Amino acid sequence: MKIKVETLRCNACGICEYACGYHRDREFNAMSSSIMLHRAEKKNYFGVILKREKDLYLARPEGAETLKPGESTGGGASSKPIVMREPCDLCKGEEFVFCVAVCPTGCLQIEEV
Amino acid sequence: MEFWNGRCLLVDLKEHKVEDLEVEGLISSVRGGYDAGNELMKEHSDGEPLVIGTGIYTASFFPSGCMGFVLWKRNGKNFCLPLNWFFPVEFKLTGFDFLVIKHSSPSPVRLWIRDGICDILPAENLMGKDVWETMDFLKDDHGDEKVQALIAGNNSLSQGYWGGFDSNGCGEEFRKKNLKAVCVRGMGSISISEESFKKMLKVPRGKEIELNLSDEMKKLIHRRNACFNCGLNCYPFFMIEDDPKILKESEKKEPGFISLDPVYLKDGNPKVAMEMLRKGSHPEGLKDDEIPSSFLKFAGVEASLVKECLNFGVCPLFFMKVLNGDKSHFNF
Repeated sequence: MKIKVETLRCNACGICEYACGYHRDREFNAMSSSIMLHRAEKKNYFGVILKREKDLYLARPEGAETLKPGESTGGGASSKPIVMREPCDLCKGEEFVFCVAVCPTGCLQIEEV
Repeated sequence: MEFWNGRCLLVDLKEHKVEDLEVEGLISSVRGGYDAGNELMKEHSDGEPLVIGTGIYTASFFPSGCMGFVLWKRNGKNFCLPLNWFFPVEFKLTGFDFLVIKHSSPSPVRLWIRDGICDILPAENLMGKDVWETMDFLKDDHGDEKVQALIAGNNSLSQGYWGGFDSNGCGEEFRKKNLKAVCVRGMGSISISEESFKKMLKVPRGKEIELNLSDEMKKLIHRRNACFNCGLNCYPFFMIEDDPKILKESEKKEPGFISLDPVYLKDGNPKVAMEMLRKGSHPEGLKDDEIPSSFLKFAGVEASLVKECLNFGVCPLFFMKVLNGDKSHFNF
Protein backbone atom coordinates (compact mmCIF):
# COMPACT_ATOMS: atom_id res chain seq x y z
CA MET A 1 0.00 0.00 0.00
CA LYS A 2 1.24 3.51 -0.80
CA ILE A 3 -0.08 7.04 -1.13
CA LYS A 4 -0.83 8.22 -4.64
CA VAL A 5 -1.32 11.91 -5.43
CA GLU A 6 -3.66 13.07 -8.18
CA THR A 7 -1.93 16.43 -8.27
CA LEU A 8 -4.42 18.31 -10.40
CA ARG A 9 -7.15 17.56 -7.89
CA CYS A 10 -5.23 19.43 -5.20
CA ASN A 11 -6.75 22.79 -4.28
CA ALA A 12 -3.99 23.82 -1.86
CA CYS A 13 -6.32 23.68 1.14
CA GLY A 14 -3.46 22.47 3.32
CA ILE A 15 -5.34 20.15 5.71
CA CYS A 16 -3.19 17.11 4.79
CA GLU A 17 -0.19 18.59 6.61
CA TYR A 18 -2.18 18.87 9.83
CA ALA A 19 -3.66 15.38 9.55
CA CYS A 20 -0.16 13.95 9.33
CA GLY A 21 0.90 16.14 12.25
CA TYR A 22 -2.01 14.76 14.27
CA HIS A 23 -0.79 11.24 13.64
CA ARG A 24 2.62 12.23 15.01
CA ASP A 25 1.71 14.51 17.92
CA ARG A 26 -2.02 14.18 18.65
CA GLU A 27 -2.23 17.96 18.27
CA PHE A 28 -3.25 20.26 15.44
CA ASN A 29 0.09 21.30 13.98
CA ALA A 30 2.03 20.77 10.80
CA MET A 31 5.58 20.99 12.01
CA SER A 32 6.23 17.26 12.15
CA SER A 33 4.25 16.32 9.08
CA SER A 34 5.73 13.99 6.46
CA ILE A 35 3.68 15.72 3.79
CA MET A 36 4.13 19.35 2.84
CA LEU A 37 2.17 21.68 0.61
CA HIS A 38 4.38 23.69 -1.70
CA ARG A 39 2.76 26.83 -3.00
CA ALA A 40 3.95 29.72 -5.12
CA GLU A 41 0.79 31.69 -4.41
CA LYS A 42 1.24 34.53 -6.87
CA LYS A 43 1.73 32.10 -9.75
CA ASN A 44 -0.91 29.60 -8.66
CA TYR A 45 1.67 26.84 -8.73
CA PHE A 46 1.13 24.22 -6.04
CA GLY A 47 1.56 20.57 -5.20
CA VAL A 48 2.68 18.34 -2.36
CA ILE A 49 5.91 16.70 -1.28
CA LEU A 50 5.79 13.44 0.63
CA LYS A 51 8.79 12.16 2.53
CA ARG A 52 8.91 8.38 2.27
CA GLU A 53 11.31 5.85 3.79
CA LYS A 54 13.83 5.92 0.96
CA ASP A 55 12.87 8.85 -1.25
CA LEU A 56 10.88 12.04 -1.73
CA TYR A 57 7.67 11.90 -3.73
CA LEU A 58 7.18 15.21 -5.52
CA ALA A 59 3.63 15.62 -6.76
CA ARG A 60 3.93 18.60 -9.09
CA PRO A 61 1.13 19.80 -11.37
CA GLU A 62 3.14 18.75 -14.43
CA GLY A 63 3.46 15.24 -13.02
CA ALA A 64 4.56 13.25 -10.02
CA GLU A 65 8.12 12.02 -9.70
CA THR A 66 10.28 10.21 -7.18
CA LEU A 67 13.62 11.54 -6.09
CA LYS A 68 16.32 9.65 -4.27
CA PRO A 69 19.12 11.35 -2.32
CA GLY A 70 21.64 12.93 -4.67
CA GLU A 71 19.26 13.33 -7.60
CA SER A 72 18.48 16.72 -9.11
CA THR A 73 15.04 18.29 -8.97
CA GLY A 74 15.62 20.93 -11.61
CA GLY A 75 14.82 23.50 -8.95
CA GLY A 76 11.53 24.42 -7.34
CA ALA A 77 9.50 22.49 -4.88
CA SER A 78 12.04 20.31 -3.14
CA SER A 79 14.08 22.85 -1.19
CA LYS A 80 11.94 22.52 1.92
CA PRO A 81 12.75 21.53 5.48
CA ILE A 82 11.19 18.11 5.08
CA VAL A 83 14.40 16.06 5.04
CA MET A 84 14.78 16.16 8.82
CA ARG A 85 11.27 14.86 9.43
CA GLU A 86 10.07 11.32 9.94
CA PRO A 87 9.11 9.52 6.74
CA CYS A 88 5.49 8.60 6.06
CA ASP A 89 4.61 5.34 7.81
CA LEU A 90 1.11 5.19 6.28
CA CYS A 91 -0.29 6.03 9.71
CA LYS A 92 1.01 2.87 11.32
CA GLY A 93 -1.16 1.92 14.29
CA GLU A 94 -4.13 4.04 13.16
CA GLU A 95 -7.45 2.79 11.83
CA PHE A 96 -6.94 4.63 8.53
CA VAL A 97 -4.49 6.95 6.76
CA PHE A 98 -5.26 10.39 8.13
CA CYS A 99 -4.16 12.60 5.21
CA VAL A 100 -6.21 10.54 2.77
CA ALA A 101 -9.23 10.65 5.09
CA VAL A 102 -9.24 14.45 5.46
CA CYS A 103 -8.42 15.39 1.86
CA PRO A 104 -11.61 17.08 0.59
CA THR A 105 -10.93 16.59 -3.12
CA GLY A 106 -9.67 13.01 -3.39
CA CYS A 107 -6.24 14.31 -4.41
CA LEU A 108 -4.63 11.92 -1.92
CA GLN A 109 -5.50 8.29 -2.46
CA ILE A 110 -4.40 4.87 -1.32
CA GLU A 111 -2.88 2.67 -3.97
CA GLU A 112 -2.46 -1.03 -3.33
CA VAL A 113 0.85 -2.31 -4.62
CA MET B 1 -8.14 24.16 26.49
CA GLU B 2 -9.52 22.23 23.52
CA PHE B 3 -9.70 24.21 20.23
CA TRP B 4 -8.20 27.36 21.77
CA ASN B 5 -4.91 28.83 22.90
CA GLY B 6 -6.68 30.79 25.64
CA ARG B 7 -4.45 33.80 24.85
CA CYS B 8 -5.09 37.30 23.54
CA LEU B 9 -2.37 39.58 22.25
CA LEU B 10 -2.82 43.20 23.29
CA VAL B 11 -0.89 45.78 21.27
CA ASP B 12 -0.77 49.43 22.28
CA LEU B 13 0.46 51.33 19.22
CA LYS B 14 0.75 54.64 21.10
CA GLU B 15 3.13 53.24 23.72
CA HIS B 16 4.58 50.57 21.40
CA LYS B 17 3.85 47.93 24.04
CA VAL B 18 2.79 44.33 23.66
CA GLU B 19 1.03 42.27 26.32
CA ASP B 20 -0.11 38.63 26.50
CA LEU B 21 -3.55 38.26 28.14
CA GLU B 22 -5.09 35.04 29.41
CA VAL B 23 -8.66 34.75 28.09
CA GLU B 24 -9.71 31.20 28.94
CA GLY B 25 -12.34 32.52 31.34
CA LEU B 26 -13.75 34.88 28.73
CA ILE B 27 -13.89 32.17 26.06
CA SER B 28 -15.65 29.77 28.44
CA SER B 29 -18.28 32.38 29.30
CA VAL B 30 -19.50 33.12 25.77
CA ARG B 31 -20.87 31.19 22.79
CA GLY B 32 -17.79 31.48 20.57
CA GLY B 33 -15.15 33.65 18.96
CA TYR B 34 -17.37 36.42 17.60
CA ASP B 35 -19.03 36.99 20.98
CA ALA B 36 -15.66 36.90 22.76
CA GLY B 37 -14.34 39.48 20.29
CA ASN B 38 -17.22 41.79 21.11
CA GLU B 39 -16.51 41.43 24.82
CA LEU B 40 -12.90 42.42 24.14
CA MET B 41 -14.17 45.45 22.22
CA LYS B 42 -16.08 46.55 25.34
CA GLU B 43 -13.25 45.77 27.74
CA HIS B 44 -10.76 47.88 25.77
CA SER B 45 -13.15 50.60 24.64
CA ASP B 46 -10.87 53.30 26.09
CA GLY B 47 -8.33 52.77 23.29
CA GLU B 48 -10.40 52.82 20.06
CA PRO B 49 -9.79 49.09 19.74
CA LEU B 50 -9.63 47.04 16.62
CA VAL B 51 -10.09 43.35 17.42
CA ILE B 52 -8.95 40.52 15.17
CA GLY B 53 -10.31 37.14 16.23
CA THR B 54 -10.93 33.51 15.43
CA GLY B 55 -13.72 31.04 16.11
CA ILE B 56 -13.94 27.73 17.92
CA TYR B 57 -13.07 25.56 14.92
CA THR B 58 -10.72 27.98 13.16
CA ALA B 59 -7.59 25.87 12.62
CA SER B 60 -9.15 22.47 13.19
CA PHE B 61 -10.30 19.45 11.22
CA PHE B 62 -13.82 20.86 10.95
CA PRO B 63 -14.34 21.37 7.18
CA SER B 64 -14.09 25.05 6.18
CA GLY B 65 -12.72 25.95 9.63
CA CYS B 66 -10.90 28.88 8.08
CA MET B 67 -12.85 31.89 9.31
CA GLY B 68 -11.93 34.85 11.43
CA PHE B 69 -12.98 38.47 11.69
CA VAL B 70 -12.03 42.06 12.39
CA LEU B 71 -14.22 44.18 14.67
CA TRP B 72 -14.16 47.95 15.17
CA LYS B 73 -16.42 50.90 15.92
CA ARG B 74 -16.98 54.01 13.84
CA ASN B 75 -19.18 56.85 15.05
CA GLY B 76 -20.53 54.59 17.79
CA LYS B 77 -21.60 51.86 15.36
CA ASN B 78 -20.23 48.31 15.35
CA PHE B 79 -18.58 46.92 12.21
CA CYS B 80 -17.34 43.47 11.30
CA LEU B 81 -15.20 42.27 8.42
CA PRO B 82 -15.26 38.47 7.99
CA LEU B 83 -11.91 36.94 7.02
CA ASN B 84 -11.48 33.69 5.13
CA TRP B 85 -8.63 32.18 3.04
CA PHE B 86 -5.62 31.43 5.32
CA PHE B 87 -4.96 34.42 7.60
CA PRO B 88 -7.20 33.29 10.52
CA VAL B 89 -5.65 29.81 10.61
CA GLU B 90 -2.09 31.11 10.48
CA PHE B 91 -2.95 33.66 13.17
CA LYS B 92 -4.44 31.11 15.57
CA LEU B 93 -1.39 28.92 15.16
CA THR B 94 0.84 31.80 16.29
CA GLY B 95 -0.41 31.03 19.81
CA PHE B 96 -3.14 33.67 20.08
CA ASP B 97 -6.90 33.51 19.52
CA PHE B 98 -7.43 37.26 19.52
CA LEU B 99 -5.50 40.42 18.81
CA VAL B 100 -6.56 43.75 20.30
CA ILE B 101 -4.90 46.78 18.73
CA LYS B 102 -5.33 49.99 20.74
CA HIS B 103 -4.61 53.65 19.94
CA SER B 104 -2.54 54.92 17.01
CA SER B 105 1.14 54.77 16.29
CA PRO B 106 3.00 58.08 15.89
CA SER B 107 4.77 56.64 12.84
CA PRO B 108 3.85 53.92 10.28
CA VAL B 109 4.26 50.41 11.64
CA ARG B 110 3.53 46.78 10.85
CA LEU B 111 3.03 43.85 13.20
CA TRP B 112 4.92 40.56 12.80
CA ILE B 113 3.39 37.80 14.91
CA ARG B 114 4.68 34.22 15.21
CA ASP B 115 5.68 31.68 17.87
CA GLY B 116 3.77 33.47 20.62
CA ILE B 117 5.61 36.75 20.08
CA CYS B 118 4.86 40.03 18.34
CA ASP B 119 7.18 42.66 16.94
CA ILE B 120 6.06 46.19 16.17
CA LEU B 121 8.25 47.06 13.20
CA PRO B 122 8.71 50.33 11.31
CA ALA B 123 6.82 50.52 8.03
CA GLU B 124 7.98 53.81 6.54
CA ASN B 125 9.55 51.79 3.71
CA LEU B 126 6.13 50.36 2.83
CA MET B 127 4.25 53.64 2.64
CA GLY B 128 3.38 54.31 -0.98
CA LYS B 129 3.81 50.65 -1.92
CA ASP B 130 0.74 48.87 -3.24
CA VAL B 131 -0.69 45.70 -1.72
CA TRP B 132 1.21 43.30 -3.98
CA GLU B 133 4.52 45.09 -3.44
CA THR B 134 3.87 45.03 0.30
CA MET B 135 3.00 41.32 0.32
CA ASP B 136 6.10 40.51 -1.75
CA PHE B 137 8.20 42.45 0.76
CA LEU B 138 6.65 40.69 3.76
CA LYS B 139 7.17 37.21 2.29
CA ASP B 140 10.78 38.02 1.39
CA ASP B 141 11.54 39.77 4.68
CA HIS B 142 10.17 36.94 6.81
CA GLY B 143 11.62 34.27 4.52
CA ASP B 144 8.52 32.14 4.28
CA GLU B 145 6.08 31.73 1.41
CA LYS B 146 3.36 30.71 3.87
CA VAL B 147 3.15 33.99 5.81
CA GLN B 148 -0.26 35.62 5.60
CA ALA B 149 -1.00 39.29 6.03
CA LEU B 150 -3.76 41.85 6.31
CA ILE B 151 -2.63 44.90 4.39
CA ALA B 152 -4.10 48.40 4.26
CA GLY B 153 -4.57 49.15 0.59
CA ASN B 154 -5.96 52.08 -1.32
CA ASN B 155 -9.49 52.06 0.10
CA SER B 156 -9.74 48.68 1.79
CA LEU B 157 -8.07 45.95 3.80
CA SER B 158 -6.60 43.18 1.65
CA GLN B 159 -6.08 39.57 2.73
CA GLY B 160 -2.66 39.09 1.19
CA TYR B 161 -2.66 39.52 -2.58
CA TRP B 162 -6.27 38.69 -3.22
CA GLY B 163 -8.37 41.46 -1.71
CA GLY B 164 -11.32 40.51 0.41
CA PHE B 165 -14.69 41.88 1.29
CA ASP B 166 -13.76 45.18 2.91
CA SER B 167 -16.22 47.78 1.72
CA ASN B 168 -17.09 48.93 5.23
CA GLY B 169 -13.94 50.75 6.27
CA CYS B 170 -11.58 48.29 7.92
CA GLY B 171 -8.66 49.48 5.81
CA GLU B 172 -9.48 53.03 6.90
CA GLU B 173 -9.22 51.94 10.55
CA PHE B 174 -5.75 50.52 9.84
CA ARG B 175 -4.73 53.83 8.26
CA LYS B 176 -6.05 55.81 11.25
CA LYS B 177 -3.81 53.72 13.47
CA ASN B 178 -0.80 54.20 11.15
CA LEU B 179 -0.83 50.42 10.77
CA LYS B 180 0.24 49.22 7.32
CA ALA B 181 0.00 45.46 7.86
CA VAL B 182 -0.45 42.59 10.29
CA CYS B 183 1.68 39.67 9.21
CA VAL B 184 1.46 36.18 10.74
CA ARG B 185 3.01 32.73 10.46
CA GLY B 186 1.55 29.94 12.57
CA MET B 187 3.85 27.17 13.63
CA GLY B 188 2.19 26.33 16.94
CA SER B 189 -0.28 23.69 18.04
CA ILE B 190 -3.96 23.55 18.94
CA SER B 191 -5.30 20.89 21.27
CA ILE B 192 -7.91 18.61 19.70
CA SER B 193 -9.03 15.41 21.39
CA GLU B 194 -9.08 12.14 19.52
CA GLU B 195 -12.84 11.98 20.02
CA SER B 196 -13.30 15.41 18.40
CA PHE B 197 -10.92 14.52 15.59
CA LYS B 198 -12.94 11.47 14.68
CA LYS B 199 -16.25 13.34 14.91
CA MET B 200 -14.93 16.10 12.66
CA LEU B 201 -14.01 13.53 10.02
CA LYS B 202 -17.68 12.53 9.90
CA VAL B 203 -18.85 16.05 9.03
CA PRO B 204 -19.82 16.18 5.31
CA ARG B 205 -17.04 17.71 3.23
CA GLY B 206 -18.94 18.93 0.16
CA LYS B 207 -17.65 19.15 -3.39
CA GLU B 208 -16.60 21.75 -5.92
CA ILE B 209 -19.31 24.38 -6.48
CA GLU B 210 -20.54 25.80 -9.79
CA LEU B 211 -19.16 29.25 -10.55
CA ASN B 212 -21.33 32.06 -11.83
CA LEU B 213 -18.95 33.47 -14.44
CA SER B 214 -19.14 34.59 -18.05
CA ASP B 215 -17.82 32.23 -20.72
CA GLU B 216 -14.94 34.65 -21.33
CA MET B 217 -13.89 34.54 -17.69
CA LYS B 218 -14.26 30.76 -17.57
CA LYS B 219 -11.73 30.48 -20.41
CA LEU B 220 -9.14 32.17 -18.19
CA ILE B 221 -9.45 29.75 -15.27
CA HIS B 222 -6.18 28.06 -14.45
CA ARG B 223 -6.60 25.91 -11.34
CA ARG B 224 -9.19 26.42 -8.65
CA ASN B 225 -8.21 27.12 -5.06
CA ALA B 226 -9.98 26.73 -1.76
CA CYS B 227 -9.70 28.32 1.63
CA PHE B 228 -8.09 26.25 4.36
CA ASN B 229 -9.59 22.76 4.75
CA CYS B 230 -12.37 23.18 2.22
CA GLY B 231 -13.34 21.35 -0.93
CA LEU B 232 -15.74 23.87 -2.45
CA ASN B 233 -12.96 25.42 -4.54
CA CYS B 234 -14.65 28.82 -4.61
CA TYR B 235 -11.59 30.58 -5.91
CA PRO B 236 -10.42 30.21 -9.50
CA PHE B 237 -7.08 31.68 -10.48
CA PHE B 238 -7.51 33.74 -13.64
CA MET B 239 -4.42 33.36 -15.80
CA ILE B 240 -4.28 36.46 -17.96
CA GLU B 241 -0.57 36.84 -18.80
CA ASP B 242 0.10 33.19 -19.65
CA ASP B 243 -1.66 30.13 -21.04
CA PRO B 244 -4.50 29.11 -18.67
CA LYS B 245 -3.62 25.49 -19.47
CA ILE B 246 -0.03 25.82 -18.28
CA LEU B 247 0.94 23.19 -15.71
CA LYS B 248 4.56 24.08 -15.03
CA GLU B 249 5.35 27.18 -12.98
CA SER B 250 4.75 30.30 -15.06
CA GLU B 251 7.83 32.31 -15.90
CA LYS B 252 5.79 35.51 -15.76
CA LYS B 253 6.21 37.43 -12.52
CA GLU B 254 2.52 38.18 -12.11
CA PRO B 255 0.58 35.93 -14.48
CA GLY B 256 -2.88 36.40 -12.99
CA PHE B 257 -4.99 36.70 -9.88
CA ILE B 258 -7.57 35.32 -7.47
CA SER B 259 -10.38 37.53 -6.24
CA LEU B 260 -11.67 36.55 -2.80
CA ASP B 261 -14.68 38.85 -3.26
CA PRO B 262 -16.49 38.06 -6.55
CA VAL B 263 -17.59 41.70 -6.77
CA TYR B 264 -14.18 42.58 -8.26
CA LEU B 265 -15.23 40.59 -11.34
CA LYS B 266 -18.58 42.29 -11.86
CA ASP B 267 -17.64 44.33 -14.94
CA GLY B 268 -16.04 41.29 -16.59
CA ASN B 269 -12.68 42.94 -17.23
CA PRO B 270 -9.97 40.78 -15.64
CA LYS B 271 -7.20 43.36 -16.14
CA VAL B 272 -9.20 45.98 -14.27
CA ALA B 273 -9.89 43.50 -11.46
CA MET B 274 -6.20 42.63 -11.21
CA GLU B 275 -5.19 46.29 -10.95
CA MET B 276 -7.80 46.93 -8.25
CA LEU B 277 -6.52 43.95 -6.27
CA ARG B 278 -2.94 45.13 -6.70
CA LYS B 279 -3.83 48.53 -5.29
CA GLY B 280 -6.23 47.31 -2.64
CA SER B 281 -9.14 49.23 -4.17
CA HIS B 282 -12.44 47.59 -3.35
CA PRO B 283 -14.94 48.32 -6.15
CA GLU B 284 -17.72 49.26 -3.74
CA GLY B 285 -15.74 51.90 -1.87
CA LEU B 286 -16.65 52.81 1.69
CA LYS B 287 -20.18 51.87 2.79
CA ASP B 288 -21.88 51.87 6.15
CA ASP B 289 -22.76 48.13 6.33
CA GLU B 290 -22.10 46.39 9.64
CA ILE B 291 -21.02 43.36 7.57
CA PRO B 292 -20.11 44.02 3.91
CA SER B 293 -23.07 43.37 1.61
CA SER B 294 -20.82 41.56 -0.88
CA PHE B 295 -19.91 39.02 1.81
CA LEU B 296 -23.59 38.42 2.62
CA LYS B 297 -24.23 37.92 -1.10
CA PHE B 298 -21.22 35.61 -1.48
CA ALA B 299 -22.29 33.47 1.48
CA GLY B 300 -26.00 33.71 0.70
CA VAL B 301 -26.97 34.26 4.34
CA GLU B 302 -28.25 36.90 6.74
CA ALA B 303 -25.89 38.87 8.98
CA SER B 304 -27.06 37.01 12.11
CA LEU B 305 -26.00 33.68 10.61
CA VAL B 306 -22.62 35.12 9.61
CA LYS B 307 -22.07 36.07 13.27
CA GLU B 308 -23.03 32.58 14.40
CA CYS B 309 -20.61 31.03 11.91
CA LEU B 310 -17.89 33.42 13.10
CA ASN B 311 -18.49 32.17 16.63
CA PHE B 312 -17.53 28.73 15.32
CA GLY B 313 -14.93 29.81 12.74
CA VAL B 314 -16.82 28.01 9.98
CA CYS B 315 -17.52 29.43 6.51
CA PRO B 316 -21.21 30.43 6.25
CA LEU B 317 -21.30 29.48 2.56
CA PHE B 318 -20.09 25.98 3.45
CA PHE B 319 -22.51 25.88 6.39
CA MET B 320 -25.47 26.53 4.11
CA LYS B 321 -24.43 24.64 0.98
CA VAL B 322 -23.03 21.51 2.61
CA LEU B 323 -24.46 21.37 6.13
CA ASN B 324 -27.85 22.81 5.07
CA GLY B 325 -27.74 25.27 7.95
CA ASP B 326 -27.88 22.45 10.48
CA LYS B 327 -26.24 23.72 13.67
CA SER B 328 -26.20 20.25 15.21
CA HIS B 329 -22.97 19.69 13.28
CA PHE B 330 -21.30 22.24 15.60
CA ASN B 331 -21.83 20.11 18.70
CA PHE B 332 -18.85 18.15 19.93
